[in-house]
Amino acid sequence: MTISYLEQELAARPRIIVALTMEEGRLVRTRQFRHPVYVGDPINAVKIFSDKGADELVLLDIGGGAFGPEKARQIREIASEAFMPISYGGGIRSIEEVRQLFQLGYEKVVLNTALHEDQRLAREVAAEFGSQAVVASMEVLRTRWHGPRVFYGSAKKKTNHPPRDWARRCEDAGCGELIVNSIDRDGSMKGYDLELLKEVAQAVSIPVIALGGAGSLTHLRQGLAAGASAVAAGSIFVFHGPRRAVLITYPQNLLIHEEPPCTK
Amino acid sequence: MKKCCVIDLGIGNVGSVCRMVKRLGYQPEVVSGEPQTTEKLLPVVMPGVGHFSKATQSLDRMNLRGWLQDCFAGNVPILGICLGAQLFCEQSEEGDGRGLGWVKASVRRFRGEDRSGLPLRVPQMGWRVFAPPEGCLPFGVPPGRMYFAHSYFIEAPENSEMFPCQANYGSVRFTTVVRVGNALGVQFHPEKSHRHGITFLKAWLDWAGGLAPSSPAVSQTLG
Repeated sequence: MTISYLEQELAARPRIIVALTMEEGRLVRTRQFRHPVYVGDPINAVKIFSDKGADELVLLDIGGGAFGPEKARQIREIASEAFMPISYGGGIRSIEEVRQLFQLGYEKVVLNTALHEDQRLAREVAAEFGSQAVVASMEVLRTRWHGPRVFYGSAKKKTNHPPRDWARRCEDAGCGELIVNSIDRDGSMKGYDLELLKEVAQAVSIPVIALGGAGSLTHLRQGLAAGASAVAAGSIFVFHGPRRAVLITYPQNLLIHEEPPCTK
Repeated sequence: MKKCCVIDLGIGNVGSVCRMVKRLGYQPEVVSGEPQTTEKLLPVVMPGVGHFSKATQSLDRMNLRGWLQDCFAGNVPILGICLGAQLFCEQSEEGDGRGLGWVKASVRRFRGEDRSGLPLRVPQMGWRVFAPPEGCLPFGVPPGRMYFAHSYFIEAPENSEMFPCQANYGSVRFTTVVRVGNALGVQFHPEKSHRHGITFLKAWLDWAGGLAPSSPAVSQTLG
């Protein structure tokens, strides 16, 4: 039997990631991390995105509550509808919770507040599950006097870290990916903060995921061109039309993938 | 109902693999310690998300090495996924744990450049079209996109038939399929690759389930 080598030159496609935010078990969309609007049931939404072949899904609980048994039950059901990569973030503080999430069928955890409190958790998760299992999420607001600064706790807590510095610290802590979430652009559908993406992407060597502001496929392309390895969005996939009627969509033709990002 | 062993090294994404196996009409039997009695020649899946040396420690702690070795020697169909496939190798740059050593290869960390000459972003995360060349797999699957998420890869020696499919990540050539005896390792995650992954796993289960018990060695050890 002769086995021929196959040249698979196709670069890994940039991912288009669906970012869903949850509060008290319900799916919500926010603007600038405020004014949550109910958009539906998470289990049903995840099933639809899975049926539509979404590249990946990030589920973020913004309610701020601890990771308890009730939450675990719901997110188990959510995972059972996902035949795609799915990550979870929100209130994770211990390696036991992380282990539980992996058992439930998630393969990445998203850390945010935990990174600000104690970076040991990220290290522990990376040491046990590999760095591809740890995603850092960084909330950034352009402040009037100090320029862009990192926030956490759903934009409620301010730090003095410039995004670039904090991004490096997340990488050093063992995180394998970094979500750059623009507070200013959240829910605006006016496009990503491209300058921010460029700056952060140059600062780290882990994949950077753009989040906050995408309202069209053009915006997604711009995010990739600015240096993001993947683009994430929420509103664009759940709202339709100027009145923001709830309609779950996902780009089917994947035209965006055929255009190589015109980078650097 | 037909059964399939799923090995739980305590660090993997066992949940999603079991769900997929169940969906395909097989009963997953989770192995999380040294199996005492095992029905003969169940197909074995070694899923993997995790750290190489943590996984090899689990193999030792759970006393699984001997059992897996018997399965391998007895031509039991084994599917290694991602880290599960890397465990077929001798060693890894991810810690100093000893792999199963079924293939003479090492696992290395991605270091290289992308098309623009910039350092590769590690881990590699994303989808690629997997189009298995003729003879690459013992069963047929149509080309489809598969999900990859890894910082380490199997470095194949030149022109070995044990590494029938490879791909490039920037300047680095990495193995996507490793095949030795009835053990098959894939770097991607079929359990997370939508219908393409389901098709792949179904084809593997059908092939694995169709293999007749062949080795007295295994029947003795497991019987």
